[in-house]
Amino acid sequence: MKSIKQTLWFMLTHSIVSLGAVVLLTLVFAAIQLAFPLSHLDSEKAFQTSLMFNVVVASFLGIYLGGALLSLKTNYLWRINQHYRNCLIGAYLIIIILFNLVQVPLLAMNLNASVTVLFAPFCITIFASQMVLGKNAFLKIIIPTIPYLILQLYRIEVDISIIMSLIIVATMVLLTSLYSNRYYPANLSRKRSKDNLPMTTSAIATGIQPSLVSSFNHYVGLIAADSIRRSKKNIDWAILMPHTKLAMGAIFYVLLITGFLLVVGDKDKSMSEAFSILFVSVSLISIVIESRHLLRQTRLFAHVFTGKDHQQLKSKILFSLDKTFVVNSMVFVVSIWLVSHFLAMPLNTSSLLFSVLAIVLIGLAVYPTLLCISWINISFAQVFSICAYGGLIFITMRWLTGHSETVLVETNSYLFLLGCLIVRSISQSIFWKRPIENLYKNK
Amino acid sequence: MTSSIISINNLSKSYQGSAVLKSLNWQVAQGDIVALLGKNGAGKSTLLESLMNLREIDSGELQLWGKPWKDLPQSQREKIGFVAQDTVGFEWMRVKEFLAYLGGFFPSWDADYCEHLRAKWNLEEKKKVGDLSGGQTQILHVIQALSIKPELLILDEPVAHLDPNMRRQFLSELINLTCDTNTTVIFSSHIVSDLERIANKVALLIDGQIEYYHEIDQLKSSIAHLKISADGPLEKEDYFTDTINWQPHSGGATATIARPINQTLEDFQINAKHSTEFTRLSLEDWYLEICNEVD
Repeated sequence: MKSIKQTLWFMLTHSIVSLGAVVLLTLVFAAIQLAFPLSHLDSEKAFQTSLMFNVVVASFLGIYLGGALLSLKTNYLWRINQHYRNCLIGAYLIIIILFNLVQVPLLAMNLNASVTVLFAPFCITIFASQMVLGKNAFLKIIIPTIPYLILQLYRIEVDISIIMSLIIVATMVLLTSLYSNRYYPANLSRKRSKDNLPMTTSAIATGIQPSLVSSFNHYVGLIAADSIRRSKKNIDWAILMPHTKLAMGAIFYVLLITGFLLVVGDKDKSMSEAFSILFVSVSLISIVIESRHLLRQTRLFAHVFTGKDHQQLKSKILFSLDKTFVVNSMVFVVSIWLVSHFLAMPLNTSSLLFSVLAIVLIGLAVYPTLLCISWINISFAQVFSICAYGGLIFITMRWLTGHSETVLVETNSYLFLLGCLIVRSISQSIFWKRPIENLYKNK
Repeated sequence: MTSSIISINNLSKSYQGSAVLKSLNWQVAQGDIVALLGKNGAGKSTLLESLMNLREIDSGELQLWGKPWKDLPQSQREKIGFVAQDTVGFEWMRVKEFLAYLGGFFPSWDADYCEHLRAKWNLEEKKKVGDLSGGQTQILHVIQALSIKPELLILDEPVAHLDPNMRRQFLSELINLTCDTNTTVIFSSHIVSDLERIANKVALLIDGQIEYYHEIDQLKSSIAHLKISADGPLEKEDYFTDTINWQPHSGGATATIARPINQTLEDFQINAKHSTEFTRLSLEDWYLEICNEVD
């Protein structure tokens, strides 16, 4: 009993900030659902919205608990100790059940379908955990989508009770598999303890194993080997992975968007601009996080750079990252333009260009602060900075939507530029003041 | 008189309110090979990384070649070689690229010497750094540091993952380097037998300070376990105060001499107030005796 309680406590508290975010989201959605009766919302709409809210919260909870379970599974006891396994799965299920017991009344309040739908959040939580627990990229993507794929039976007028029953059965099968699978990510444990491979956002975002990311970069490095060997005091290779330095991340995103455009119908192609902006925003953050993990590689030569408090080294770091941001973004924009040209797709080129430029300016302004903040233990400051970055981009994009033709003559554009310069000077001074040992901490 | 290459005065460093280094004072002369000992968590890595200006000190003064870090000229900085305790990074590079890339940061890089060491220590040049074993990775970083032909070499547990044969080769290479170039070496290790083979001085970090800093030959000629005979229990003050682990018993006492004394042990025995037998200690036994006293 004590072990279960301790496991429960650890699972709940392994990342306080993330837990806070999940709780906050739950409370916000709960408040909105409680207001439905007052808003005179149509019952069908109320039910659908309530279901969507519950599914979103369940997904985030699933990812959160998946992370907790994964870190506990890295212990060899998972493989050899039945009691340990029982504790972990038991605690995992207790949290899910208790959480959903709190959520379910909100869904029940607006229930407009079979009572089996009340099990949906429970099932979604378990499937969402697989986005973290899945052994490889394929499983991380495919397994969480199973409930949605089963739900498509609705299109051929299968009764919702039957659909939900199938989802519940699939959940039980997944749970059984989770419990009986002795696989434990020993390599993950070893590599985390040795801090061997930085978990670049390429690995996090795509679910590709860090070892595969490293192998890919090795092959890219073979292409760039001569350049690496001839580099004199070029810190780019130390703070960036080769694929990032050579803008391959941008090409990767272009390929994703191209794949999307080839699959969707014409009316959905207009979403490509929105996706482009999203990908550029995310890619800038991924470059920062990647560098954050790699900064400690500069320990081997940090002492050859002069200046008080490693100022020369820090300046070089910022310069390298500035270059990479701009190059990656420009490669991305040019590639998207070429793709839209070859696919004969209508694209508002100036709108895209100004949007990407705005994102680059915001990114350049904000990222020095993000370099200073530890990532593995996510801090409030990090969450705030990322939210501020996202919020600024959102606001700027909304403004640009209505002003893309007149952006060059608008006073607001120049105020925006000035604002970015001011934010950059502030974030840069924060970065410069940060002691080098804090920058090297990966935690 | 050899000048001090490292001069530390009242160096203090804390982590989250817990003091690791407390008003530490230390001078290291040019050409010395110093073995830095200390228990796990004593602050060896903190001290060595502070020497490399990789840690912010809370207070005190640290000078290399008589200058604080901010005044140290570029040319001097480039003559420092460093091997960190955790040799991670650059996993995607091949050995050849890793060495060539890092060599680019040091004008005094000797590519031929680097190649000689790589071949001598059987590191495949085309192998990925990430595929090397812990020991091989350590060797790689040692090669990188030695190839700079440094005037000051700082090594944090450089032999922890090496097999005995590799350790012996590394130590012999270190001896060659220091003989040829008068390089000052500071290295930390738990393998005390290796220290005796190469170091001329030993520094012992206890409770945030360098409590013992002596020439090894001088130390080894003095350190001994004493068995003192007397009519009853004997106190330290009635015999010789500069001992540790003083244990009185009904027939006298036992103790350990842990610092150099101004006479040979034989003379000490003759001149002692009470009948004394001594057993010479190895450096490892000396270290264990001091750790016992600290505990």
